[in-house]
Amino acid sequence: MTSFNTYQKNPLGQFGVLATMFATISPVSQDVNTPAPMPQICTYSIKGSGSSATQQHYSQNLASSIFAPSTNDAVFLQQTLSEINQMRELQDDWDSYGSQKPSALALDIIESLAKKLSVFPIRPNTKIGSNAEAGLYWKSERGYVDVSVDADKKFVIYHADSALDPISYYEGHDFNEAVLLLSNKATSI
Amino acid sequence: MTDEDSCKKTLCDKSLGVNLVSHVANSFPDCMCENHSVSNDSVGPVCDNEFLIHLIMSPVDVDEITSELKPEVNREAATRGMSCFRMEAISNSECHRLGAQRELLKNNKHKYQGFVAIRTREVRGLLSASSKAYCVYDTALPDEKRHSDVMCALREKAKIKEYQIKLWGLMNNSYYSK
Repeated sequence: MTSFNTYQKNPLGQFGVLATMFATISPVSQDVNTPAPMPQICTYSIKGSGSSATQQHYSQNLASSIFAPSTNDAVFLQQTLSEINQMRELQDDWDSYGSQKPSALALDIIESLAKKLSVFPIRPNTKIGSNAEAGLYWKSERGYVDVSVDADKKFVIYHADSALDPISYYEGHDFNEAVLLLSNKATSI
Repeated sequence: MTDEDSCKKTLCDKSLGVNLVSHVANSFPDCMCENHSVSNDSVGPVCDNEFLIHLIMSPVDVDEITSELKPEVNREAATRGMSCFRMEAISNSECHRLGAQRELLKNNKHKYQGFVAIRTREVRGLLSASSKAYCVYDTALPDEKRHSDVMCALREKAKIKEYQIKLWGLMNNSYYSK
């Protein structure tokens, strides 16, 4: 079951109605301290319902074709993957308050997400919940986006503005849907 | 059984585990247990002007680049309750001493990182449609009279998430590293 709450401030509307396509980021070598260039964005409509097989096929192709990491992205990605690997070493009660260690499946999924989502202009950070969830988040002066994945492969995606007021909340089980939704959020961060 | 007895019985029920907070939110809406002591070891309900001290015991909860807390730092507030010490005034040395003491208590398996100090009124002041998003209970323990818990009073998942992030914002502004 997928649920999606959109608050009034959401500029993009319902997922499945609009998709955002990013131009490929230049692969030219960059200094590590130079911010990654902002991707160029265009928007277009997808006809029909969000659950059609055609659109799902299209979404998968889109999700796998538009994410080409630049040098900066690769550096960011290595930092994130390193943190995820450290999270694999945690044991139950890792925080002294009784939290469970993150599930191996959740960590595998956020590792895949981190690789797919290198188009975010800032580095994804890692986080762990109390019930074996693992996640990523992005925070800047423009807003906040996070994604959590639990041991049942459920995705929760939350988007807030710079004052931490909510913009949208999503729950679902589809990896490609989550990737596409998060890629839309990259424009807000 | 009086309301006070019901509150004590529920809030001391260790068998509820990670479901304690949702059970309390369902059974006692609008933070009604804040009106009483919920522990026989307590000196009384937590007042709005008291400080709540939460110890950060893992480097995983701190961004090593920015030194900011990570958003899940208050995760227990929606499950078992976020453990805090109540204090009338912030004492850095006392908070750091409590952190070192907790390291010893846990056989040095955890590395104390620092503490968060927020006024109870700030936590109770997070309102969702004019109702408190978080309750603060005087869950004193026999060997720690100052123990208290912050518990989410909301039941809708999207709202719980929204206020978890808002509480994180408060905590991040009141974090003191070791």
